[in-house]
Amino acid sequence: MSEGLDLAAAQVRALAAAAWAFRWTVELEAEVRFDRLASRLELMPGSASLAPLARRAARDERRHAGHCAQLAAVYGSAVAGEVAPPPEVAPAGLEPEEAACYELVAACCVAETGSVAVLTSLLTSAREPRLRAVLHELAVDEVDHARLGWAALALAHRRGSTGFLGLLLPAMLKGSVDDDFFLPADPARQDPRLLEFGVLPHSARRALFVETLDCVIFPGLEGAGVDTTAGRAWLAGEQLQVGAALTP
Amino acid sequence: MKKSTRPSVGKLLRVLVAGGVALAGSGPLAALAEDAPAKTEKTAEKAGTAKKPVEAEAAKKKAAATEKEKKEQEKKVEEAGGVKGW
Repeated sequence: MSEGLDLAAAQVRALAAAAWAFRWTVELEAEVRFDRLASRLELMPGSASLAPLARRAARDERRHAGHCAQLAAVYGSAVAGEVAPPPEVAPAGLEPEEAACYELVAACCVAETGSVAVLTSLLTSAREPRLRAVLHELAVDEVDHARLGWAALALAHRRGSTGFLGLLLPAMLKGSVDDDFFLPADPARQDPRLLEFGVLPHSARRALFVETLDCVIFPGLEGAGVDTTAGRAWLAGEQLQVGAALTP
Repeated sequence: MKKSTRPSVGKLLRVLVAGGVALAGSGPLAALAEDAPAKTEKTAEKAGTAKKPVEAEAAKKKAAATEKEKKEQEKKVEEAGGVKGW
């Protein structure tokens, strides 16, 4: 029995280590993405004031990556080096300002806003001081990163150029989660002990993603003139998939 | 009593979205937004002056343009991606 418990505990720790190692790659990719966006924003008269914020976000992400690497190592997974530059996520056919807006919405309004929700949630259950300190530091920074996207969207809205985002929302949202995100997870990924390591159990993470979309992201986009009908339809379809998978 | 692990999403909305809009609406950002180029002017359509064969040709061109736009939009949707967070 205790051997089984030890095995489960080791599995939880390994999953936590993998999660922090993944976050390390997310943060390093975000550093490159924000630097790339900053260079583009500097050339855009209507959005150049956002460039310093994107530069600062890039520096934040480098620091975050260090924290993630340390926690991954503490939990048993060593990471080092650099990662490949993240791919462009905006479609090639967009105008440069639209492409920057698309990437800022995908990176900040969706991914960073979602990260703030996850971090806020984790902070309520993490007890270990070092972990709490990291989660708190990251949460403070990620709020600023999310705001960068919402600010970019507000500026684009004033120019009357946010309408193109509506039909692209499903692809943007689909690309923000793993392919198995709406499928039933392995029981180990549902283990509540993951919270002690700063990781949300899978179904809690999924529920939080849906709630954040419904209550924060979709209303925020609609306020900026983006039609969220296609995005909401995508989410409803994915949720049906969860329901069907859970039905005996 | 065990604390809820769920954040207040309403609070998040205020903090993030309103914060971002306020950021865009303050100081130099607001000035830049005011100076931003106006929307592209739409070309006014001339109605009722064209002859029928010309209209038919225009309708054909419009249909082709619509089809082209549709294909371009489909291509954009195919190419669009997302950014993974935590």
